[in-house]
Amino acid sequence: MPRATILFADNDADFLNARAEFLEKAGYQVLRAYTLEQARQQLSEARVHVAILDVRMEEDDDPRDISGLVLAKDPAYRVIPKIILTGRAHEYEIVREALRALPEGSPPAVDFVAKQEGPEVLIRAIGWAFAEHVRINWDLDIRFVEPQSFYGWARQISGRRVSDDQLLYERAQEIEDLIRKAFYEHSKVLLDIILTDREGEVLAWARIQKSKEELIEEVALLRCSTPGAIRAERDAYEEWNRHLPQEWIPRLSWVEGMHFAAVSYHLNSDIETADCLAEYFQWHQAAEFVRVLDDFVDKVGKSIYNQPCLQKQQQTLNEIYRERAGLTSDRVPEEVFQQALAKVVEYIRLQHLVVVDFKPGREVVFHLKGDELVYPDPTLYVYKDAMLFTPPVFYRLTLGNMDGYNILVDRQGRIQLIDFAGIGPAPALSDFIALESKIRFDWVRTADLEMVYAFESQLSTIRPLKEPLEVTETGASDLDKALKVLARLRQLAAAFPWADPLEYHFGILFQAARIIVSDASLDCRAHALIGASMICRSLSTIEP
Amino acid sequence: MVPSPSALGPYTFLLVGKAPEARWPMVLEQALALLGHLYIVPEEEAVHAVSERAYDVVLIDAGAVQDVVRLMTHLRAQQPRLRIVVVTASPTWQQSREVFRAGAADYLRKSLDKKKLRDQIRAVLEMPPLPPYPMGQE
Repeated sequence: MPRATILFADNDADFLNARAEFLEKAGYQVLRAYTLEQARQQLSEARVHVAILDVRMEEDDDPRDISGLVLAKDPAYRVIPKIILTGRAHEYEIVREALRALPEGSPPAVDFVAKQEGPEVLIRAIGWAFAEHVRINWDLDIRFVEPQSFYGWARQISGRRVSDDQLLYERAQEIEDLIRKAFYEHSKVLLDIILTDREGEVLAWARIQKSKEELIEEVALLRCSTPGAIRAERDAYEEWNRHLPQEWIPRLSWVEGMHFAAVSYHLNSDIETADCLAEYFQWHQAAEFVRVLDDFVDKVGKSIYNQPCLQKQQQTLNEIYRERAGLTSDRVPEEVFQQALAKVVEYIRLQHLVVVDFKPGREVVFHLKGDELVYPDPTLYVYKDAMLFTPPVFYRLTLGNMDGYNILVDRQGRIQLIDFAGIGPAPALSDFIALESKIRFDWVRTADLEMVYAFESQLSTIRPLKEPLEVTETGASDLDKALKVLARLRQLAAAFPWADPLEYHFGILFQAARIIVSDASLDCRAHALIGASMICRSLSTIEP
Repeated sequence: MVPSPSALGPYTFLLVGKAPEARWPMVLEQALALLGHLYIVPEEEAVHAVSERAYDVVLIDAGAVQDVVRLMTHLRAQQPRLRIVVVTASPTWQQSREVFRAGAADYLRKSLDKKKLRDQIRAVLEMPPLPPYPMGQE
């Protein structure tokens, strides 16, 4: 059973130890900090439910020392409820400073206790802080369906940033606390399969039961990530949810901790047997996927894409696409891109035994099917602006984050949007470009380069989006499925008057370039290189 | 009885306290004239006044009411997100804690400095909305 943990910070060691023992006898786990530095470290690293901070942490006789109060005001520790303690309570201004709301939100502390008041008053204040501000459901019965643990969750969300085992253990406890906060009024939660392997987050079904007697289960979808990511989702949701179709607006509840936060979506429909769109693509026929796509674009089109233009950006489309693909010179300099390109070329040569020459800054030459295929080096278009779009760029409302993990599809093909973080103004075609790139480069599995070449040849020609794509089978079932789906996706895009084919293909080029420098599999990166090269050749045939 | 407004500004304030003829309410009225209009009611009419109109800030003169926290609880029952400021000639740390626990937006020493008063109330107007639940301990 997890224990309620209090951080007690006071530079008066005798007082601190006496009070800490009292609190420990009352059942709390007490972390002791005798200096400001120790207090900061514990607040940052340890699992702390409530912090008790002495006003004067540095110099007891100096009335100007309010270091404990300054610490309480630090926004880094905003989510931890604090009780301010003082030996000199006669200064009403100190109480006012501790309990009055800061301009950016909540007050620095939730309560104020004078040392002279005795331990019972402190215990009462702590009990109240837990009941009103911590709100952890200690009795919640938490179970997992599959062999998984909060330790595993902490590792998935923290990624490479945290490798220390002890720290991950502490973080796992913080996640458990979040679940106990998220389901404060329930008696039992069963955490089901994780729906995504997106780095930095966990997405899981939670089957929750109100009380032990009541057998009816509710289903919620739980996303757990970093506080910044969840806050971004909350902000985007609050700003834009009025534009979403009514049936996609779930009841949301948010909980936040020091290193993690969570949002639970209480969905309106009985969509609990759903998959993410990415998974749905793998397990269903093209015709079924197209039906879902039609329904999706119909709903989003009416609510989101038909909104009037929101902004006119005075940047070139080149700059905007580069920025959105993470290919700006500060993140991926041109030399790094070319090194990645050379690595992929080398892989193709050695692994696929295809003769390929890369002449940096000039061309990439593939020898495939007995032909010599000469394409411009994608660097020329991605970094050197061989084709330049002049401003302005029109921004419309888009869903963003179209990676296939943001949309759920149930067995009847009903859809539900579950990620609101990306909603906001972006170049109008962004969602279509992102979805095509996912299907075209990420969701197909075939690595045979001749088949990939046959696939890309059909997709790289620039022509009006409304012109039906003549699909010729490649011999690989996943590529053929993708071709049929992409043919439909482009037609759906063509229904919007702002869908320009040149901007569409240009956007796909930057997504392919992003994959070339990513840590995706080398087969996927080889596919992206062929796609990018072929798009560049198509662009080179267009008159400026 | 709520007095009829004479010089409505963009904000409306309510002072629960003594008669308007007293010195400090007059100072407050002048201080807030640039922000809006101040209504003044005695303690027994305060709950009714708050149920009749949405005030931007309610000020309670702690020296003129019998039980500040009880009055705050009744007022917030009418308007859960009401911004309440408690003013007093002789502030104490105990009362300060009590009124903040009960959900006060601020606790101020009565001042005759009109600019200071106006700035303090303006700061309250700029505060984020208060949590709706009535806080408090036994």
